[in-house]
Amino acid sequence: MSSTSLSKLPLSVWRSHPALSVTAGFFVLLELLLRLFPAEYGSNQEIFLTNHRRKLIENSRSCFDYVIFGDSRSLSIMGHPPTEDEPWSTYNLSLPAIPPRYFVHYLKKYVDHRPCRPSAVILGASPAMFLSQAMAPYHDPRHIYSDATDESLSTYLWKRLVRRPPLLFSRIEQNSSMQDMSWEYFSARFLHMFSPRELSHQFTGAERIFVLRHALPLTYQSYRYRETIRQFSTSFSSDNLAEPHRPPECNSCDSIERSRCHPPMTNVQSNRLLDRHLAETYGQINLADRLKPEVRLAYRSMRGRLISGAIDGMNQSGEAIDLAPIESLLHLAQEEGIRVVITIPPFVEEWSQTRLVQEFDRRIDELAEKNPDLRVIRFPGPFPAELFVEHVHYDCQGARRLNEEFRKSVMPGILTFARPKDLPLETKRLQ
Amino acid sequence: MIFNSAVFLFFFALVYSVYWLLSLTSRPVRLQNTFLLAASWFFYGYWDWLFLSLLIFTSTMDYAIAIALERYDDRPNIRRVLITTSISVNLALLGTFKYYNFFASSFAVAMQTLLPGSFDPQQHSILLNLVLPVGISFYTFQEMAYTIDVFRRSIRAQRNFLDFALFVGFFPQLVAGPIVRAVDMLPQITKPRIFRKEDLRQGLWFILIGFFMKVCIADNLSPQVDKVFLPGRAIYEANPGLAGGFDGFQVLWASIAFMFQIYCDFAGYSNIAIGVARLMGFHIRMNFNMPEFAQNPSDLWRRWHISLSGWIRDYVYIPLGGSRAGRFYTYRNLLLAFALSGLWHGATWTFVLWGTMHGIWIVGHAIVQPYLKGEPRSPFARNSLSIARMVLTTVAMSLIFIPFRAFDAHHVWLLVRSLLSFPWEIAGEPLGYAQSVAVRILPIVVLDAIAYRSGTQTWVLERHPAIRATVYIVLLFSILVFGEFGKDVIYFAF
Repeated sequence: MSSTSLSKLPLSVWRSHPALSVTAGFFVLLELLLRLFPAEYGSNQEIFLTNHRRKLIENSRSCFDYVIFGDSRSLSIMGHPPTEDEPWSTYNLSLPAIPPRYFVHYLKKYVDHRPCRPSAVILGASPAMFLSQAMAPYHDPRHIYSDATDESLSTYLWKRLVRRPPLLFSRIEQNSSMQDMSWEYFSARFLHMFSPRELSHQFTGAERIFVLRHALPLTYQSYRYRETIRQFSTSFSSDNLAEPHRPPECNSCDSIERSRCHPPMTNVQSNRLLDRHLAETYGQINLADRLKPEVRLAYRSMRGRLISGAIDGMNQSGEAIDLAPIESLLHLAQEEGIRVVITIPPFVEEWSQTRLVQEFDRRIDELAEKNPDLRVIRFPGPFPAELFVEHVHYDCQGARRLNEEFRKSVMPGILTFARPKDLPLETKRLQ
Repeated sequence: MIFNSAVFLFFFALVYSVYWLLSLTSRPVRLQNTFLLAASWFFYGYWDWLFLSLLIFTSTMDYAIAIALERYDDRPNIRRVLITTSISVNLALLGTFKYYNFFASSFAVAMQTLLPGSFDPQQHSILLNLVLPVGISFYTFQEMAYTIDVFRRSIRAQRNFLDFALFVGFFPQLVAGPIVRAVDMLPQITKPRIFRKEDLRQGLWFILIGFFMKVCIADNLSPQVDKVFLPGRAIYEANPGLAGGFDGFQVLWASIAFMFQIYCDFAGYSNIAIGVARLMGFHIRMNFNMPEFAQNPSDLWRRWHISLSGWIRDYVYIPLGGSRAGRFYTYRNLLLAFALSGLWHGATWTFVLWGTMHGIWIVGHAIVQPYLKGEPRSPFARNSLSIARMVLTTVAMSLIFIPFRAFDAHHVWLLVRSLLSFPWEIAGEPLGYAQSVAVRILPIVVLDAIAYRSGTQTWVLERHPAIRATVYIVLLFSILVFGEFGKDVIYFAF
């Protein structure tokens, strides 16, 4: 073939298949648009927040003295911009429903993208997240074949294909919806924070294949942000692009409680407000402040039942507490010259005496005794139920008290234990 | 693995590439068939290798029996023993895995009713709780049809085991049909397949429309159906009052939603199977032909699950005498055939009820039809009557689907009672519900209407490129944005 006919070949292919060409062109254009514009603003809050954290970690060069890792409860702790009197910075990188296995990978991503290191990672821990069932392998959460998360692929295949439970007479079926139950709960945090390449280093064996199977389709942005496309194609209006407005009185708990301040209906508007809020609070969100009034009311009506209903389970839970994720995080932190502080955002009073909470306290104290780079700094005490919107998350007043106590009781201990190197020796005492 | 999953995408990409590369070798048919068989067994074994051995066992048995039927061509007694063995073993396996618990629990209920306290199933461990092997209802029927056809001397026995095993276990149609006939499939397996552009176009079209039907229509209708029929037995048993608390208008539209859900779920999967097979040069017959445009119940069963209704006609209805033995026996044969069809679908009395209701409907239509002859003269009146028949047939079929979806007879009764509680509230929440269902079924009705008018399901391939591009973009866009991925096919449970 001559070079002239070769160069015309692609054009002739397109011309002979015009319908396919136009179709392909449409989806290429859609993909380009989603890569050029911040498509995560059209997603739900959870996806937006994870992508927001990811972009902050990957693109920002800000150096924070402290970073907060944790779940939806520690998400209520305010970050801290440096001021003249208090020249340290704290950024809250907590994410809702974050599994403990995540922390070490999260820290690794953070340090890989920055020349500077925080003085400490403040880990907001919830004991229930460290139960062994919460850390079951994602590809086999009920341990039908796999005993551990780091099981090799050959071992898994041997167990599944050869040494297998009697499926013939069992009601245990390899139902994909059962497999994915815990994965559905946690997956967005992994899939929207880490690239497939990063995930391939975080998981091994059968679990790696399972995770990558879900991660690879998300490299196609049109699929990753299909909720954005859905929003724009079904309910687009000029409101989506207008500057979102939040009345100034919405900084008061009274206004929040009286339902004047719930987020706008569209994802774009809600996430733009959230973006602004995150910049002001250095990463903090009190999730209950964003609930619709009727949902808040419904949760409150169930609060007592939820609190008392969990007590038996917390006392009788026969599952072991597994602190391996904290040990992994600590190991990486030590390599990077970072200290770790564990603090447990307060629970309701009724839960403070349960076996689970007490056992967790004992185990982390034990761990801290063995590790000089780990410190446990506690809040003064549990909170009354009235400060929670349901049984675990703080309402507006609860978040205020949480931050007050963090500032007065927890932060001074952190400053003493892991003082930033460039911080002057003399600073005003925290008010 | 299921078609609407990433695993299948990787699997088929690999299979398709290797399959057509093998066509360039010196022995394409042999190598392609061997490779396809290995891929099909891997596909099935991916779910459970233990039940793969069951598939291999039945394939081996029927392969040997068919050859023996030809060997003893002049020995009718031996032939009868052989065919009886094939049918008995296949039905025994199907009966054990699918129906044992059904009959055992029915027996236990009967004993407890007749002689209270005489029989406690828990103490006697009468229930085995066997896991149902995926696709067993399909491949056992396929194999029985083969041996019966050989017995009838309609076809020759297949001498090559690998080819026969491929006919039984061909992965596109193995787990959820269509039930293919040996007379259609075996010649295609034994002859070379040539890569044709038209097969590629049609195959991709069937796959596209199949995915649209499954992930966009069926899986989005599912939550609407669950709102009225309830998502699970546990919720129904915990809240019996909830099951009967819906307005009749809502129950009607929930039934219509379920009819379209099951149509799009099953037909979507069948279309993907047909498309995947077409990409490899195999032509499998359509399993659904726009059932919402059926004019009456007979027409409906020529359009709905065509492969099963054809099987029941050829191997149950006609051997019973069909319509040749007078009206009474014709009606009896119809009732039996449809009751069996219901039983095939599931091991509960509600499925048998569903099938029997279809039988009654068809028999009723057969009785009344002679008095309904004569068409209006004007085209407008004819078309209006035609549309009215379609609507009535669809609504009737939807209502008959109630026992198919309900959890037990009491649930059926609660829903029927709601339907019969007049006046219906055609406003507020029930109207909003009807609208949400109508919006979801409208796309498939429109697509099927175009196919109906065009007389072919591949109508889009004959249209102007601009129209083709528009249709492709709309379907792909809908799948991308509105599709639900990873949900099982309802017919896997059968």
